[in-house]
Amino acid sequence: MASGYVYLAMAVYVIIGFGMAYLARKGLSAGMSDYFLAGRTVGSVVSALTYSATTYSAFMMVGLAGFTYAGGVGALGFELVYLSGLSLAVFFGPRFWLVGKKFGYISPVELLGDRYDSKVLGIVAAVACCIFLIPYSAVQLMGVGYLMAGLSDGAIPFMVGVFIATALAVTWAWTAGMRSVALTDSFQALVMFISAVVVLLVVVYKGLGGFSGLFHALETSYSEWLRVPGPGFFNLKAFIGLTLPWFFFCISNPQVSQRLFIPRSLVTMKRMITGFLVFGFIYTLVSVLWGFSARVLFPGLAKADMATPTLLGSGVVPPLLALVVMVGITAAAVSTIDSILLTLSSMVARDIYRGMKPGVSEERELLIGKFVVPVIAVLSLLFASRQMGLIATLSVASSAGLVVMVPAIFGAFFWKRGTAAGAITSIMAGGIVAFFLQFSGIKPLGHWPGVWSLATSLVLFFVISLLTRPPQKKAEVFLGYLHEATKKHGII
Amino acid sequence: MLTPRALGEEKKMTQVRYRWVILLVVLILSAYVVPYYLIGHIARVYASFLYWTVFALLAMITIIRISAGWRD
Repeated sequence: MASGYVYLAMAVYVIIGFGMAYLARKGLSAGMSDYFLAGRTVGSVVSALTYSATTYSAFMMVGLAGFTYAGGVGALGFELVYLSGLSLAVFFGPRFWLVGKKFGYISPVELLGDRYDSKVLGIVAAVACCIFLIPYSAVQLMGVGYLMAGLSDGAIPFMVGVFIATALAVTWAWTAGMRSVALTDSFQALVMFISAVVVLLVVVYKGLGGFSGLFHALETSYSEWLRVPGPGFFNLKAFIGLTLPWFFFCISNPQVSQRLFIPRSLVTMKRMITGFLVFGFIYTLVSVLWGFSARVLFPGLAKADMATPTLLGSGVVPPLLALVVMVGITAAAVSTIDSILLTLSSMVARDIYRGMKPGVSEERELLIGKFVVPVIAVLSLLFASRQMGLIATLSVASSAGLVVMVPAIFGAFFWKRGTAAGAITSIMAGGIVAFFLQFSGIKPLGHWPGVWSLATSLVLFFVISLLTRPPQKKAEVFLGYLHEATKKHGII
Repeated sequence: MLTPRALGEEKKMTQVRYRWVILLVVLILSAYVVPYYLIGHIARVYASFLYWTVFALLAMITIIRISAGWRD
């Protein structure tokens, strides 16, 4: 495809996105809560769409489709078990929202630091999030670079795509903080969703004679892909290794859990969760069916990750639609990156900077936060430009690395006896285990890093907490408030 | 000090919470057990593909049902 068309499609997307970011400036006032949480006043539709766009990255239409291409129906099970992890949001979501409003938390790790009465915990958790999420952002940037280079047959260099995605993420995060991120996310979520659904329908009806044709071809020619464990990738241990960390995604990943602070009310949050479930369910089915379609149409690909670029470059997808899908996948990446930028910036300002310099003014804190947005973006860009193996390792390790937050989060809401020492040890040791196992490729007893990092952090949190003194007064204030508020608001 | 009525309400709330948690745990475990031990060998769309789809719909209904009681 001529590079001019790729640039044109990107230009339309960029202009609309800039328009939305500019609109979001209206009503922006000073203060950390306004900048990083949109003043906790986001409505149902925008909450649901920003939650969806942040959660679903370029992984879905590229990585998940590739998983399906290589491993079959297990990919569907993996992603739907992840979706069922939203069941955690019905217990944690309203509790995050209630204490966030009551105690003025900006970031999820600030909640942990305050609940366990430890600034050090806030700093450790924030640093851990940066270590795992900056490489994750870098890989998203690399995805955009490869996609644009692939679709233009190399006419657009890899680094141009990386640079465009970085510039968009920074600008949309910077313009009006969460307000511009949420609004541009909403636009991007719609682009991702509509482009994916339309292109799937075109491929299935034009290339495969409808869904019955696709299913018939799968059952007759690729029956192994409908079996579990299937052609080899999704054995039970791999399935557990993948699903376990991702099941906890909605509370372990700060860019997602921070969104539990932003709805205007609990009823808004209820609609946000419902909206996300519908979005996620359809988007998952579409991505998996897309991978199956590639398997039937192009069975001989050397690399599963090539399934999406091959389908888009084939004659089955009209060139105009291929461009729309490219924009949709770019939107999926950018909407995840800008949310990560904003969340990490809020943590650096609130948890690391204020943690080390107590008593700093809110204006100063906000200034630091705004300054950090491009710094983190440049770090991600530098990582992406080097295309280092270490970055890919850290990115893959991100789910196994962030799941180590889960015991401390559970303890914060449901275990009075949890302590800061337990939380710090569990996060640090669990993170080291995740990184070491991912980097070395060792799988003790055949289990994946996420299983061991979660087990390590769980045991350490429990044992060290029992050996140390809990912050009794803080726990009573925090849990006492929640006890009354959950009753009042009908939360089980 | 809680009144006997308030204590009764608390107990009921805890029971309700446990019931939902148990239902969710069983449902989620089924997403591993059913495809991997019961129907995974069937190479048809109506086997694991359909099971995981129905499982997700049931999980979604449960989640929506639990949050239905939230009020401002």
